[in-house]
Amino acid sequence: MTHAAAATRDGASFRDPSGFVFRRDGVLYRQVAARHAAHYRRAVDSGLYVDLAREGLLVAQEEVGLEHAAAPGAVAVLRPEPLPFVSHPYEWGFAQLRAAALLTLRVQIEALARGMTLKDASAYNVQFVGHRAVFIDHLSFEVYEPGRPWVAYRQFCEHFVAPLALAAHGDVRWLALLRSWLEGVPLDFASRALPWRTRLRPGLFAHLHLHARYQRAHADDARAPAEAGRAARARVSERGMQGLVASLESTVRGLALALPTTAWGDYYADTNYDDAAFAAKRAAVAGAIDGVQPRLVFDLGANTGVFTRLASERGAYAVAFDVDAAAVERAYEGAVERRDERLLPLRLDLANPSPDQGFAHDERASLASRGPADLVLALALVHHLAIGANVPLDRIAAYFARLGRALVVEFVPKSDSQVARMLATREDVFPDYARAPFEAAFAPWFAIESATAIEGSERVLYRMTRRAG
Amino acid sequence: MSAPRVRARRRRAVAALVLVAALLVASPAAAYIDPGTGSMLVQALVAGVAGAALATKTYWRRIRAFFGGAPDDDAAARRAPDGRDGAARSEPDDA
Repeated sequence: MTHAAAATRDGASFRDPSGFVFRRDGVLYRQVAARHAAHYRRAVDSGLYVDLAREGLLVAQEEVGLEHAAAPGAVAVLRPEPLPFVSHPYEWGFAQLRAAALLTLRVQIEALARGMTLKDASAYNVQFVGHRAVFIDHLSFEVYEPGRPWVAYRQFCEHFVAPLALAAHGDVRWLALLRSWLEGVPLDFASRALPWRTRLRPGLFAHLHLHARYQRAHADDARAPAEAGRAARARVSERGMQGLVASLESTVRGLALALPTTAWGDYYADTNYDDAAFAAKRAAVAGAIDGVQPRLVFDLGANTGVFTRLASERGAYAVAFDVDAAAVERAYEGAVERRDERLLPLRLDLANPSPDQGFAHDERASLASRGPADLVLALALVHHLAIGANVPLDRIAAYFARLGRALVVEFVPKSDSQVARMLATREDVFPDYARAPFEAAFAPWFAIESATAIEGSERVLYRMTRRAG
Repeated sequence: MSAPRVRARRRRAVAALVLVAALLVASPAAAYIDPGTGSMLVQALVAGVAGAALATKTYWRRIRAFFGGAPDDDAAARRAPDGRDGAARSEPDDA
């Protein structure tokens, strides 16, 4: 029996035949297929779902009636608690990817203790609610058969160990690979790109370098049945499984980021604002947020999230986007320290924001597809796009209009030393970069509600509302 | 048909049966992702070593505890879900 209202199947939910996610009337559901019935029952009966959810490790869900099913063959339909915002692993900072890896291992430990195991270890099974990493895939659990190896071992190494090791021992910018390789970083690539000294670390030697060598050596086994049979007979004892998970955990914990001091990490120590101007800007932004009363806020170019917090502390769920890895790490550190579940820092280059991608461009939603937010903050940002990336003002305005229903945007004039510094090393090909053309560029998209000169600076803070249609 | 040829055919048949039986017994649960042949084999090896290391560690702790050694704080640190406390630690990998 299926429901009358149309159900839209989630574009990313097709790999695992155990079930799928769909949406109806804006509500998210997960249908469990008959083939997964025994595993699902065990997860319910063993208390695994309830225990994990109670500890905040797994998104809570409730079982609803089968009349909610989107297709025939359902044995259960779940309604998971909705997430405030869906992020992608290639938008996370290093510490976030690391936290997601540790969460996955923790979930595996809890599952093993209840006679179950994870059958996949994709980074896409993890989401963030503010600082808190949370597992989202209720159908990732299957009954554990003692002796059987962990089928998700390879995926865990590709999704977590390889990119984390590359970032920790190479360069944090390697994390950008995750945007191209949605299925994780190939181990042979990671093994070759990592410095030789990483072979001296037992964990990285085993899980990356040796692992890659075995993959290479057995790449053609599918054509040799005897060899394939050998792999199928591979056995891992229960103690071996615990040792493996403990080893992965210690390997991941052993990876830390040596952050360079970047322009952004130290930004607030070196701005154009004296204390009075900074306080005036804070007051103006806070006033604008109070005027909009947003539920979801995108803070574009958020740096370490100082202004984002004005939104999250007023009850909004605020996403702090910044292109700079160090700024994102600091913002996340702060969120963790505060146990902040309303502020999510993410890495994003606005000159090339996350696209709709994956199979049929329908698996991982672009930033625009995940919007619009109730409010977009664009503070000390426009000059970076307009002058730093040569984006015309009218195109910036049009893009902001796709991202949010309301906008708080700061205009930083050429006379400001930050802009002067940007222009110092290049020719000024921006005759239209001034207040009047700026307002004219935004006028077709937004109605300007107010323009507040920020005391003690030459900057102006605008509050705008998107025009209908 | 000559005796050697019959024997050869019989050997091939037995080999095929053994292979089929092995495949049937070996994969009772179907993984929807490719676990990878090399990954399964290296895992068996690594898990063997890691399991033994874990057992030794547990045993060593018991001996230490028996002689009044300090209780370890590892277990608590391991449980931090966001792994924050782990950042400052520099535990050796113990694969």
